[in-house]
Amino acid sequence: MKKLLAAFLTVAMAAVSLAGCGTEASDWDYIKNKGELVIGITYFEPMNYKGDDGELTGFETEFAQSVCEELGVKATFQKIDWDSKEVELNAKTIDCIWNGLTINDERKENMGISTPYMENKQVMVTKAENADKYTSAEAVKGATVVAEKKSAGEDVAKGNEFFKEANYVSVDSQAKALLEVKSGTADIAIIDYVMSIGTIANGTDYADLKVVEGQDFAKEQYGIAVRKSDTETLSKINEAIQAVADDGKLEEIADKYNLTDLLLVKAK
Amino acid sequence: MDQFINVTQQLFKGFGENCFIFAITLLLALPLGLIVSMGSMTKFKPLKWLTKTFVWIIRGTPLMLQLFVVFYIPPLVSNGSFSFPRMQAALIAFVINYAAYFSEIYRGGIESIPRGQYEAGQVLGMKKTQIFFKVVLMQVIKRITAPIGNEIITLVKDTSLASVIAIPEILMNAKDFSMEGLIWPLFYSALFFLAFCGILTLLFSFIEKKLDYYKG
Amino acid sequence: MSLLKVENIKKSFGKTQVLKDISFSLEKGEVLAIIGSSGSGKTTLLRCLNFLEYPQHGKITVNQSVLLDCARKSKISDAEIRKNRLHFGLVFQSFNLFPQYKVIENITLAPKLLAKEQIKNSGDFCGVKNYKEALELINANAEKLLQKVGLSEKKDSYPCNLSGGQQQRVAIARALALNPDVLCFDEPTSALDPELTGEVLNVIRGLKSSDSTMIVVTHEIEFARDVADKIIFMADGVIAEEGTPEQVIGNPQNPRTKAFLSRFNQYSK
Repeated sequence: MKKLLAAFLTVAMAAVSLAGCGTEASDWDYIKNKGELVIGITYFEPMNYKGDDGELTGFETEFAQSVCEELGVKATFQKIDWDSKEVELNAKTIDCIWNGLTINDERKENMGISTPYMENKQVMVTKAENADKYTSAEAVKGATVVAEKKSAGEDVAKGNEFFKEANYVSVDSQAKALLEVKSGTADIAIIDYVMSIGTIANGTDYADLKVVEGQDFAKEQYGIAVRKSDTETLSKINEAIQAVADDGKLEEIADKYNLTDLLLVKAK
Repeated sequence: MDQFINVTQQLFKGFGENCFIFAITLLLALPLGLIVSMGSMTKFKPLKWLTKTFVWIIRGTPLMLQLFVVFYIPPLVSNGSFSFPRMQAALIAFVINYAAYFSEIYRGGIESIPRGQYEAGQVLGMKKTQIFFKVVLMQVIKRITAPIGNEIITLVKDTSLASVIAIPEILMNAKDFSMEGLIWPLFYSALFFLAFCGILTLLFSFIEKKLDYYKG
Repeated sequence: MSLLKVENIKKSFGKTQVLKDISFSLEKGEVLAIIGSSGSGKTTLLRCLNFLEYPQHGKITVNQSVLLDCARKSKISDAEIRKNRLHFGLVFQSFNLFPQYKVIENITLAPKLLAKEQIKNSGDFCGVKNYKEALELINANAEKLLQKVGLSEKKDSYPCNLSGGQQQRVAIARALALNPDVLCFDEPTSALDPELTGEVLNVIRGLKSSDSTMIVVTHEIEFARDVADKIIFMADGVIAEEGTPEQVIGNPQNPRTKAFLSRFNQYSK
């Protein structure tokens, strides 16, 4: 429903923007004049989340703050509804999406996407006692597999030979997928590896869930999305990412969140 | 224990947003609904037609879509140069939506008052406004208490819809915890709604009892 | 000179003509009873007098001042209509008391509003200069009226706790509170159980002795004969017969009156 609405509004927006083209300040000037880059996020560990002190923290949070410092603008984080991210961007209620956004062709088509800065993959999460079981296509035969609708996980569940004999069910978020496994209504959740780091750690309600070792799917890359027309902003951001990598700050932040292995931008 | 306190705090903070939307919506939609109901009962045909269309559109589309329209359409049309702050957009959508529903309840209540009550006022030389405020209104209030109460309790829960334009209300906060691996806050948040609706239910049965001093 | 003069009233609803040229007059202190079968236009006539309906044609004069003259084309203002209505009181078939007000408040509500308005506009209400004194006057009058209809002990009750007959007596007191020139009754006992009609009719009888001018639309033929100074028999929107009770009920000339009365006599015997 929400996605449908988002799509409807995007179309409405496209129609309007065609009609309303005029001479304006450049896209980067728009942000520079505001003095802030409004960053659309949702909360998920370890990317953007509320720390114990209630302050926003996480890999993406700190990364974005460093980049904005480099750009000379303030980083303002705006929590959004993930389903409405494209509309938010086009309505200029946010200036970029910086939240472990997977790069794909569809998104490249519709938005400006930065240099890939991090790698991600899809992993299987099951109850700990089953973690050794689901290691072959034979083993997942007849099992119930869940993933977030329209996510990379869904592509894997639907398209990968490995899951050909499994029963696929889509849910509306990765957290829901985990909840399904935890409550026993599904056997396997296919979610982002990055997401699994934060959510199934010890001390959470999902501590009895485990990632199936040695089974990775659909390696993908994370990028920052800006408006398609904001080409100047995009190149500024790309330059700033490289600069933050060059002075070692990026690696330092990644280390803090155990994500160093996945980093794609290295110091020159 | 620390975790429980932290979750409780976060949920309370979120619920504050729900309560704020709830309070402002009631404060503005209750009187606005009365104005709308006057419009839908007027003898001036174009205004009546316009009001009926308005009520039809508002009641005929999902509140979620209305939230989208109020928040996203202005910046999309103006290319980002004008937009309501999120909370304002939510309040506008809620007030308009609930005013439409309230107006129909008012209309039903007002039209259920027998014509004899108006005529009794008229032959006693009362003005139209006097008849409305001194004779009809109290009877209308008594008749609409139950349906309004019903609608108000629905509003408590509807405030959660504000999350679609990213108002950090209680359910959104609870969902965030589930992203961090905590499931129980989602169910815990139900207690907030239950408690609030419980209080409202008591309040309304008290009001109904208060108004029960006469029949008719 | 007549207190009330009604001339050539014609009233149609759509294509149906309900009143076809009604004229009559009434002296001060007289009681007029209007009888006739249902649909004959009696109630519509009363509603025209109280400005709840507007005739298409005709003239209404009270105390030599013309309240309504359809020949004059200018529209009457709301304020004027309200003023005109005060010349008449109307007691409804279905009482129409205000359920949320106590008996005494039902009676004082309209006078209070009127007093407030008149003091604000002209600084005078029935010879009293301020609202507080007016209030005393109104309350005292209301108590007196309640006594007149025999309901003093019910003044703090709500209408829902009264019998139909008691409610109708309160409605009479309410209509009297504004001291109308002509008090109209629209079948005041038709909604009552038979054993309750007596108390209401007695109150109306009592009013006759205190010299009120009244028009009573009724089905109580015996009562009409007893109380009325003048009776009008209406049929199909016209006055079929008019005269003293002896003339109209005792010795009807019009065949329709005869038919109507014989039907009544059948039932009452």
